[in-house]
Amino acid sequence: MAFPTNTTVLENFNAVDAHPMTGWTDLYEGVDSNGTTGQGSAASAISYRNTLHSDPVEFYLTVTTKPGNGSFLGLHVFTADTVGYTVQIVCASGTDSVALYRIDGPGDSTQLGSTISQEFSNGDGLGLEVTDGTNGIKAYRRSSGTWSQLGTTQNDTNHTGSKRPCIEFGDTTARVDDLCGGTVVAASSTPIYHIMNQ
Amino acid sequence: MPVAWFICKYKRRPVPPGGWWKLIRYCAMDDFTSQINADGGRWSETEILNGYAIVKVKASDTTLDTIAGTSGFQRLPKNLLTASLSDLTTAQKNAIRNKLEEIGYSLTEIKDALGNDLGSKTLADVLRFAARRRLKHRLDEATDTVIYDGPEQSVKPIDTVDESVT
Repeated sequence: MAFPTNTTVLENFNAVDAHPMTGWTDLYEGVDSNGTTGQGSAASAISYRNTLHSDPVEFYLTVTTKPGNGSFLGLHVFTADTVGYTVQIVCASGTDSVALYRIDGPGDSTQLGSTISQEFSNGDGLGLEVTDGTNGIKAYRRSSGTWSQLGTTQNDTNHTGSKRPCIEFGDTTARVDDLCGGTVVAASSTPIYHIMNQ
Repeated sequence: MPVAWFICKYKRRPVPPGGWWKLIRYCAMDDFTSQINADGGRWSETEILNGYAIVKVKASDTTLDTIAGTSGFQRLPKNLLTASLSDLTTAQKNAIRNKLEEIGYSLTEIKDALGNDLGSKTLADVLRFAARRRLKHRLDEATDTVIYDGPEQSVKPIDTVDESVT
């Protein structure tokens, strides 16, 4: 199935600055509602949207400005218990890297599979799809308007059920825009009469 | 390109600055990702008891030999799940049994599941047994060690690992 299927804009980051943002909860410091960057002098900021979405879910955002070299940007998908899965970009002076993680508790993560070598550019998209069961966990990057899966699908079923997106900044350089997604929209099936007339 | 199965442990990476991060674990095979990718290969893992992982790797013979020669990595003596262990030496069978005990299975449980002679089993039998459970971990902040004593967690099946690396 193509990614994304649900293009609902959940947060356009155009609100007046407030902490936490309306409809969000701050886990550590807080993501800014107007600048969408780590606030003040804080080295990192992490906030999740309060609304849960039924499985399977997909979320994506635009990386307006990459983190500085050595820092990171994470898009998490959390259950109501604040556990779940993460796709994280770590920027480097050479090629950036991406990895998928399972989050088992506050800041307690286990990488799923191998580190993916992938350079990101400002304006690229970062996406994460999580499906309970065999469809697994998939990371995506949008470049020049085209989405591609990064690395391989990871299978992990430790954190199932409804989930919500969470954004984490590792520094005050990174900026994101237009967090989109929700429950994956099932592809409509071809009507039988079309098949019969072919 | 050849494939091989390994048992190795999870390692830790430094956590980023800030108050939220406490622990980042990764499969030690990731230390060889660049080399495996350069071969045009890949790898996939499943976590089992006590911070061990069973890993299938597709890479050049040179890379597989390098991994096998690295401390902390044990290469299994067969490459295909369907391979019989009937031609293994006693030393090879003992090495597998010892590793299963090191991972955390009792000799009684091993014998109940696999019998007294691993020679009557396949690689799949052994790996499916090794991947029958894992326990949730926790970080003991006082000693800065990862302890595996929580409730049972779901384990990625060996067959899923096998199908991921073909």
